[in-house]
Order: sequence, then C-alpha cells, then structure tokens
Amino acid sequence: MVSNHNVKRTRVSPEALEAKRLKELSKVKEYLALNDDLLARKRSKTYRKEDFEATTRILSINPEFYTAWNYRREIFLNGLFPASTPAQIDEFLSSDLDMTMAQLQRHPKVYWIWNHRRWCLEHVPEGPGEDGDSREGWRRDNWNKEMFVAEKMLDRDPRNFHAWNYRRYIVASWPSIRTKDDELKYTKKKIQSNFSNFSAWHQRSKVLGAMWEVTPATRTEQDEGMSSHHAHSCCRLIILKEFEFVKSALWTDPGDQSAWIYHRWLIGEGDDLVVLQREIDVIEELLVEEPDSKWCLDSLVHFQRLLLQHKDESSVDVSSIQQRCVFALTKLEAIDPKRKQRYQDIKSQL
Amino acid sequence: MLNIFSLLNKDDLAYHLTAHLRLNAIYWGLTALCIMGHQDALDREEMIKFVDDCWDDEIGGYAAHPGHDAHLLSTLSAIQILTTQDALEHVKVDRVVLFILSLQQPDGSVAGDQWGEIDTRFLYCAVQALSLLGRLDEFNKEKAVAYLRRCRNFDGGFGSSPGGESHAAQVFTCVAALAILDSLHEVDEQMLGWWLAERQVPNGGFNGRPEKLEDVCYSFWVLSVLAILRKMTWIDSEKLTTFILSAQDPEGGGIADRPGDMVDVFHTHFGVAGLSLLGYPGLNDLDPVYCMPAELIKRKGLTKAWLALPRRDAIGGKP
Amino acid sequence: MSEDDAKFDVCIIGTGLTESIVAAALSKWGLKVVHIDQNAYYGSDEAAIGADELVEWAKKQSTGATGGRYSNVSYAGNAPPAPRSYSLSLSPSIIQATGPLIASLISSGVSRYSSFKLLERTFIGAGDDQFTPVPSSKAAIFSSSLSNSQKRKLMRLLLFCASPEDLSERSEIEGKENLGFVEFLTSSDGPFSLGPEVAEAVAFALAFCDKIEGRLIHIHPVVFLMVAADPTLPALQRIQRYLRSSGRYGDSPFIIGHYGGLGEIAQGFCRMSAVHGGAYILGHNLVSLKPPSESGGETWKIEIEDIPDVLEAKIIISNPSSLPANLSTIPPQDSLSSAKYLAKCIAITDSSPTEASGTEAPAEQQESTTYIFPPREPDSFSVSAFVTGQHTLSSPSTKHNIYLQSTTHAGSEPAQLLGPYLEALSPSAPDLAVFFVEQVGTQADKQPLHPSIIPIHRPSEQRWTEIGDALTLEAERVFREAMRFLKRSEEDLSQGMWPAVEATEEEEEEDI
Repeated sequence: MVSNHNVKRTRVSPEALEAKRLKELSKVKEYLALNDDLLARKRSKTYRKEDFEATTRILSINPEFYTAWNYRREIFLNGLFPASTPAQIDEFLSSDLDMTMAQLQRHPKVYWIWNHRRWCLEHVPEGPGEDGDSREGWRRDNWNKEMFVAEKMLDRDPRNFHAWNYRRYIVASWPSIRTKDDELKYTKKKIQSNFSNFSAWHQRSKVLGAMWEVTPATRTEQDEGMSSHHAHSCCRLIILKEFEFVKSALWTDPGDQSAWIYHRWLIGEGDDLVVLQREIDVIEELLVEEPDSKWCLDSLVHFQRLLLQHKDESSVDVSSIQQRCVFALTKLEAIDPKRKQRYQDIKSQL
Repeated sequence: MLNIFSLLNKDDLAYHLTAHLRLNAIYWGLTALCIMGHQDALDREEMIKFVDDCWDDEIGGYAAHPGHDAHLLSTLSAIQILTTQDALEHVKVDRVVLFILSLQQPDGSVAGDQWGEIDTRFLYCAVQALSLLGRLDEFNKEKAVAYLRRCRNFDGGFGSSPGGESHAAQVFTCVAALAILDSLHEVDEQMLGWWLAERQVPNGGFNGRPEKLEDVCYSFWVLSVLAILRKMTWIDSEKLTTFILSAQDPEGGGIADRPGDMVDVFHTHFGVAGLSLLGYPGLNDLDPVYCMPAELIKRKGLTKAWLALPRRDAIGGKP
Repeated sequence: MSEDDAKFDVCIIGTGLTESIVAAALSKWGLKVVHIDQNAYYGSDEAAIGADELVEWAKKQSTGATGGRYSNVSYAGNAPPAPRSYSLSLSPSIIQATGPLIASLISSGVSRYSSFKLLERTFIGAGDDQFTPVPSSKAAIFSSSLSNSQKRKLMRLLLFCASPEDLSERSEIEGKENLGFVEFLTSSDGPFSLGPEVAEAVAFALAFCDKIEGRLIHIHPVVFLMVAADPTLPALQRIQRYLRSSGRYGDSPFIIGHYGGLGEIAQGFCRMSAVHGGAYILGHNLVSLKPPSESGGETWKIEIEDIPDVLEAKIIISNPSSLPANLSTIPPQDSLSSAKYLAKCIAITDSSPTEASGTEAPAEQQESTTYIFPPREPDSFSVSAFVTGQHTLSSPSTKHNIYLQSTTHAGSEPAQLLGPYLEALSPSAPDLAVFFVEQVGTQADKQPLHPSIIPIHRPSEQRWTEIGDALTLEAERVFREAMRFLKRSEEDLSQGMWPAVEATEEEEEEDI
C-alpha cells in the first residue's frame, strides 16, 4: 500500500501470506483486465454508453483512479450529452451524483469523488425541476441535494475538511441556499454538539467576518442617522453574545484549544481597548479557578501584549503588564516545557 | 542494485489500486533513500525510463502511471525525480512549462489539471516545478501571492482555498510556495509559529489541526514550516524524534502513521524527512522548501533562508 | 421420553434473567439442563409481555398468588387493541454499555439474538411539567443554562469521576465516603463546591441517588436543604461507571433492549441454552420435588403437571420463593423490617412526555428517555420514569410505554404515589395503567433447606441502570456454585462463564 492511515500492523506468517496471495490472485487478474480494457477504450477515444459503463465498473472498485473519472467526463461531453435532451442530461448527472454519494459513504476523503460531484453540479442544464417553470429548477434541486449530502457527511465526521470545503463552495455558488443567519445557526449547532470541533468555530469566524464586513457597523459615517445607529447597536449585541458564547466554552473546558483560538479571532488586533480589558478580566477570573491552565496563561500573555499597543492610554500601566507577562511566561515554561523556547523568546521581546 | 518494483508485491491488489500514485511513490522512496545516503539503491536508468513512460504527450505533462492522464501532482514528482537523478534533459521543458502555466487561473490560483480542481497544493506544485526548471519568471507571481493571501486565516495558517480551515499540510504548501516566491513577509510569523508549535501533542507527535490525532506525516508538514520560519526550537524535538522512531516497524522496516500501524512509503518518506530536519545522526540534510536533498537544491542555487536543527554526530550526541 | 432422556445434571426453575444466563452457561459447558417455568412465557419476573397478558398478570397478582412479592396491585383501563404488539417489561431496565450484562451478551454470543438502541436523553423534572435536560457530558454542560462557574465545577467533577483510578483511593474523598452525597458536592471546603441545583441534578439524575433528608448544610448562606442521603463513595463510583460506558456505542452510556429489554434478553439466553441441548418445559406447574435422600437415589425426582415421566437432576437451581414450601424456610419475622419496597407503574399512553414538556424533538428522539423527579419532602424518595415506544419495538407507532418506579414503604398506595407523575408525563388518560408494590430484599433471603439446591437471590439493588448487571453478577455466582457442586475443576472455572470459542463466531453484532 502506498499510503496507510490508521491500519494496525499485524504479524503475518509466510503461510498466511501465501494463502492471501493465492486468494488475491484472481481479484488482481480481474482488476487488471478491467484496467487494461478501460485504458484501451480511452486510447481509442470512443465515447459510447458501453464505455461509460466500463468507467462505472472500475470506479466502483477504485474511486481514486482519476484517469477513469476524466474519461467518464469525456464520454459525457463528447458522446452522451450531444445526443441527449436537457432532461436526459439532468438525469445523467443526477444519477452520477447518486452514485458518488454511495462512494462517499465508503470513501469520505477521496478528493476525486468530491471533485467529480463539483463538475456534475456545474453541468446541470437549465430546466424546470420539480416545482414548476423556473429555469433554475433542476439546478436548484441539485444544489439543495448537494447541501443535504455535505451536511450528512458532516454529521458522520464533523471534522471532514472536504465536506466543509464543499459546503462553503455550495453556499458561495448558490447563495440563496443559506442565509448568513442559517449559517450561524448551523455552526452553532455543530459547536454545541462538540466544541472541540474547531472546523465549526473556523466556519463561524468566516461567516461572522463576512457579515461584519458588509454591515454598516464598520462604515457608519457613510450611512444615515437612525439606521446606521440601529445597525451598529445590533452588531455590538451580536458581538457581545458571541463573547458570552465562547466564554461558556472556555469555562466548561479551559483545556480545549478550539475555543481559545476562536476567542483570539474575536478579539482580533485588540483595537477596542474596553473589550480587550474586559476579556483579560474574564481570563484572570478563570485563572483563579484554574491556576495551572496553559491556555489561560498563554492567552493572557497574548492579550496583554496587545494591550501594550495602547500604552499611551492612561489606563494602561506598561510596567505592571510587563511584569504580569513575565510571571505568566515563567509559569508557562514550567507547565509546558515542550514549548519553553517560545516562551523565552517572547519574554526577551517584551 | 534493486529494481524499483522488486520490493513491491505485484500480486497484491493494493499495489494495482494505487497505480494513480506510482510516480509520487517513486519520488517519496527516492528522496527518503537520498536522505539516508542510499540513492543508488534503486536502478537509475530504469527509474528514468519509467518517468519517460509516464509522459502524456497529448496534454504535455506527466501522468502518475503510463497510460494515465497528466496531472500537476505527478508532473512535479517527475521533475523532482529527474532533478534528483540529474536527468532533466529528459523533460520537454517548453511543453511542460506551457502545461503548468495554462493551469494558472485569472485569480492567481492553480488547477490540478484541465478539469479545474483548485487547491493551494497545486499552486505549490506549479511554483516548485517551474523553479526547478528555471522558468518561474513566466508565472504570474503577484497574482499567486495575492491568492495565497486570500487563503490565509487569522490563526496564521492557510487553507486549501479561500475560506478553508488551516491545515498543517496546506500550511506547508502555502508557506513553501511563498518562500520560493520570496514573499515570506505575507506570513504572520508569530501567530503561525504559535499555531504550529501547538500541533505537538503530549506523546511528542504532531497533529494537522487543533484537537485531531497525531500522525507521522505531520512531522514533516509542521517541521518544514518551522524550519522555513527558523523557529524549530519552539517544539520538543527529542520527543518528536522518539515518536517518529516509535512508529517504525522494527522487523520489516519502514515507518507508519502511528506506532503499531502498517508502514508505507509515504509515511516512511515524511518520517525520514522529519528526522533529517531534527538533526538526526547519520542522515543527509533535507531542504524543507523543496522537500528534496538540500545539497542538490544548493547546487542549483535555489536555497532559501531556512534553518533546521544542527546534525548530531551520534545518537543522543551533541553536534 | 426414554429413561435416559429424563436424566439431567441440573434442573433450573423459572426463566428470569439470572436463571436463563445460568442455563445458557451450563449448557455451553456441556451439562444437561432442564429448564422449567410455570408461565407460558419466558422471563419470569423480568418478562416482557403483551398488554392483555399484563392485565391477566395484574388480576392474578391481586389475588395474592405469588406469596407476597407483589402487593396492592391495581389497574385502570383495559388492554388496547392489538395487545400483542406491546412488549411491556415487568422489570424495565437501562443497560450500561460496559458491564457484566453486556459482557455476557457478547461473550456468550446471545447478542446476535438481541438488538438495542441508545438511551437518548435524561431529563430532570422540576415540577410544573418542566423538564430540564441533565448535563451529563461536556457538550450538554456547555449548552446548559448553568453559570460559567458552575459549568467549570461540574466539568471538574465529571473529569474526577472519569479518571481510571480507584476513587476510594483518592484523597479528595478520604473520610467522606459515607457523607450524604449532596452535602459532599456542595460543601464549600470540599473539592467541588457545586451549587445546590447542580448538586441535586448530579445526585439524582447522574448518580441515581434516590433518598433525601432535610438538613442544614453549610453553603453560603447557611440554608435548609433537602439533600441526597445516599453515601458519597458509591454514588461517585456509579458516575464513574456510567462515564466509562459512554462512547462505546455512542454518546450515551446506556442502551435499551428492543422488545421489552430484559425479558427478550432472557429469552435469548434460553435460546442459546436450547441450541446447546437444554430442554425447555414452559407453562407447566411443578407438582413435586423430591430430594435425593427422600427418594432413596442420588438425584432429585421432579414431577411436572401433565408430564408422565419423572425427571431426575443432580441439583436444583431456583429462587427460594419458587420452591415448594417444604423446601424453604420462612423468613424470620424481624427480617421484614429490613425489607425494601418499590412502588411501580406500567402504563400505555397516547401522548409522549416530550410533547407534554413542549420540547420539539425529531420523532426518533422522542423515544427512550428517562425522567428523574427528585424528592421534595424529607424522608421521601425520587421517582424515576422511563419511556419507550416504537423505536424499541415495544409498542405500536402511536403509543408509548411509561414505566415509573420509586422506593416506598410496605403499606403505600402505588396509584396514589405515582399517579401525579404519570399525569405529568401523559396529560391524556392512559389506555392502561397497572400499579403495584414490589417487595425486594428479605424475600430473597429465604434459605432453602437442602444442600443440593442452589438458591438464586434477587438483588436488593433495584436501580434501572443497575438491575441487569446485578442479575448477571448473581448468575455468575450461581454458575460457579453449580460448577463446583458438579465437581468441575478450578481450571475450568478460571475460564469464566463462557468457554472460549472461535473469534469469528463471537464478533460484536449488536444492532445499535
């Protein structure tokens, strides 16, 4: 095997190996026959239904055979599509999406399968779909189905980055499928079921980031009185709730780095001194409960260094902050010796 | 000297099911042998012949296996193998360059082949392959750097596309590409150094993302970037060395993803690559940017300002 | 039946879970077993029966036919249509995902005859039809409405309990082993100092404590509280076991047997026994049981109603109360004072409790839920409710089975005690509700008179989460005693109940 992940090593006797070899010989022969047949068809550039079926056969055994996926698409483009009505094309692509769905169940991390789905989706023709006369009907139905598939895959493995990437791709390509609010709810649900799931925190940061970029809160000057003020306070409320949300995770398990990383994102560059000081207080409060929490201490150093950027403000006492950083860093060297050098480097930069 | 395939069992179905990775596997095996000082263990002529056979004349790139379609992943492997074997004259350079350049998209990203899959892995493949061929100037570097910037996350890491979660392997491809493109200023070194150092788990191994399992291959993805950022001291190198060594198969040889698992050439290569960066005694230096023998990259004048741990002269010994 | 066919090594009376496990184990060891039960169904006191059978059962018990184990039996309503599509358990149970029962199911291979579902959720009832999910995992604690400080404290407690160490060795509980559990949890100078509400949820819904006392406890300010009077160490050990069980088959530490649970499982063990040569006689009364000395031979002579042959067996395995009166002693009067009593209810309803609580949950999650109602008055006990239905294949799709249980005293009126809780869980009138009091403890202490009778004691532990494992542990004890009596070597015994067989046959195949 070229690449094994999580396959236990077992000691195999020569006899057992020989038995396995004999047993596999027929399978190897069968596979090689399919393989040679497929490559011969591809070389001859025939694009018939029977060629298509040959790709189905071999891909059902080996979904990583990218050349067979390529050939399959060539058959679509050069053989099947030109001879078909849009409804038939939609039918073809839908059944390919169904086939690859079954493959994903067994091979959730094969790039080529995800990639083929993407290609299929993008080739769905204009047409009515199930509910009437819209030209986008077929497409909408297929994108909806894709969303369902991506989320099913995330139910099975909430860290599968293929599924997350694919989901982002669907939302970006077909924005009406999910509002930003839907997205926030989805990430919240994922985080609530397991807040070690950094993939969900990450996605949440992307959704909120995109929302705040386009909400008037960041460009109030351009907008008019009431509405911008209203939007601004709405946004502040959302941010405040977000801090409460992440705080609850930090307190529940201060040893889980996912929430700490998100917390860092939420504070960002620390431009808002009030927020920065408030969050430092939150961490110090937690530190009283958990004096040996590495993430508490490391975050405290990070945020206090951000605080030093505001050294011109009267509330910022530089030497006291530096002292507290040195204290935390010294403690970190002791409780986290693996990364000792990093703490020493930061100390020397203070 | 051994035939390159004599160690692989052609009666194994798994061997045939992985034909689509054959050229990559040869690159992994060859590089690991170079690092261990046994470049000659595999027959050079036969290997070059196999690479030649993988040429896809229709597309103008290399396939992973004779008869398969050209792809950027296998094209890079082919160029790496031929560079290591000092046989670049076998490459139809103009055609390959054309193929690679054709894959760059208007937004600076790079597709893996004409079917359009986009991933920062492919951008790295393009940049490195062009660099090894001395043709990087024909590539739109500014757009590539701008694209990589869009793939960067607040934690300092990079994803496979804009919006993608930071992942150690993806961080390697993006940072190494930026290194080749002389654009390391795009990296938030403090933040990324922190994120990478936190990939080390209590048993000494590295995971690829927060709250995930460790795996030997991340030893290389994480270490290479730490070497490029000159921050290799930010992790516990002894514990990592012990972890990689513990994933060896003491009887059959080779390295697995984790102790007790089946070994393979992929993890063996990345395990050995990690050990080389860690200064493990008796190994040759590995260039963390190109993931090829450092001496070779130096001879080509391509070396960047990375810093690995000094080579130790005996097990447990000081440099 | 030839003369040889009537000769057995072991005669087991009753097909409860313990008896059935023993039957399967002894048969697998190659011993000749005859297993008899006066009921036409398997499972005895653990049986899973149809709605009409339950009505019959209630009628029979109210005439006092079983020697006082069940009392104050009453029922309201009637068996609904299609009564046999219900599997109502006389001993409802929740099985720990790691424990003696699961171990026996897997290593015996009986798991192949059984199927299970995860217990979805546990709620704590706060009165006024309000139900709060019990924060029993990191995710649940994170999403709960607890204060951040309480979240941290509760997590710390769970991490403490999840440790692989022997909790009795931990310095944090030294000298506090027998302290009332809530007092231990809330004590401000103790290791956890939980708030009173969290402590109550932990004690009653995580550790399944059931008794409270009213007393002053020192939290700030000093308040009068009802506190769980159960001792600390066993309560912590229960939480430890439950935490270790979660993750094996899913997030929940508990699984529930399909088709009524233990009765179905007991039947599976009987089937395993039959596969290995065990003989089964169901629905026949025992006429007489003559011990070896009296009959002049080496073996017991067993006469069974309507069966012409007299059966012979070297030993008898039975619950003492199932034996003829001349073979067991009457328990001394004073032991009755130590008897334990449970008020129980088995009901069939239309509406599901989650509908009652207003929580919207997908249909598949509306099943298999437990509810804990902590006690509200001094010296009273918590009430546990357990709801199953279609998804455990134990009722038709529109119906639910509700079980209620509470510790009580001898003369209590179960309908009066449990009625309000049934109403809280099922606002519409139930189709059928059977109430009774079950006596546990002393009844099982009745000692048989003869040395070649191995008595099966009914465990005094009656928590739903513990009963299956307790019955299994008793089966292991009885099995060993039987093997010793039959002069099997200690070497055999060291292999445990289930002789090793090829691994392929014993793969875990639970359908969860």
